[in-house]
Amino acid sequence: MATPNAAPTARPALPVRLLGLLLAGAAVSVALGVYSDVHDPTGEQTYTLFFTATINFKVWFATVAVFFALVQILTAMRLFGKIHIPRQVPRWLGDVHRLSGTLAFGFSLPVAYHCLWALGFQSTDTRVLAHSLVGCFFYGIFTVKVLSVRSHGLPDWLLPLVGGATFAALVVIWTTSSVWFWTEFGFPSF
Amino acid sequence: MFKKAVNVIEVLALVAALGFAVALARGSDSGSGAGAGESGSGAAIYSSNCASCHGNSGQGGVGPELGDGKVVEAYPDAADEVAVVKQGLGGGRMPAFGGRLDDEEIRAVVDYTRTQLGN
Repeated sequence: MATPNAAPTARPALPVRLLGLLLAGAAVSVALGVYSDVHDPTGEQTYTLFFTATINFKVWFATVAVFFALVQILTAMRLFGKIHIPRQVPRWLGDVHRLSGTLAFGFSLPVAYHCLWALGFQSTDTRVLAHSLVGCFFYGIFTVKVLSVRSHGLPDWLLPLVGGATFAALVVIWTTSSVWFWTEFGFPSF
Repeated sequence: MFKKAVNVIEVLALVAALGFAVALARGSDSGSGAGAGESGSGAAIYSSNCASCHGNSGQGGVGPELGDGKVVEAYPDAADEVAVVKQGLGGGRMPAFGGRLDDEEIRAVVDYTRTQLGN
């Protein structure tokens, strides 16, 4: 029997919901950081997929992930009206936005798996430390972003902020790995 | 149609993320602490410890090329190569393997790189 005064669609207060999102993301980041630190890195190649070496596949996949992330950030800017190209928003743009983000995430996974499994958390120099830290941060902020997209009634500023942070994190990861590799050894073949 | 395809791909990505977590967890159970040189052969030790940076056949990658006699050119004395493997190189250029491989394993992998790798 329903009580007359019960609010039918009671939601937790906004600060509580924001804190919940933050905690969920922090849990993912901390879990990955602890895992990569505690787990003994194997140093194994683990897999090369269809590439000739693991490092080649990692550089390529990270680059493809950044490409799709760039597509997502540009489509987001159009959807939020920050840019006006194309002049009319196509009906399919929202789906392209979702697809590009999903693909960016998908391409990042096998790269991250090798990092976590074979290399672990390292702090041998600034680049490596930044890569390890931001790598863990990326999946945490990505979690917050996905949960924010699926939640209703959140502040308008949240999604652009979280989406921008996710993109920025991926770019830092890419810069401290793939771009570093290009500058040191040249762009790898397949 | 396109929307449905995107929905399917999102579900697949979710499955992949779960698989990612499961693979890490299972790997943690079975692989953590396993010495990569357990099989004892230089080739196996190389494959497990060195190939991710120096390439499957020593062609180089993150680390320099070792095969085709390059490592012998760089370290004519095998003892110098053993020291590098054991102690690593500073500045994050190469990790030390002295804590992960015993002396016999290091000698085996050094011998492999000098006599068989990429030859």
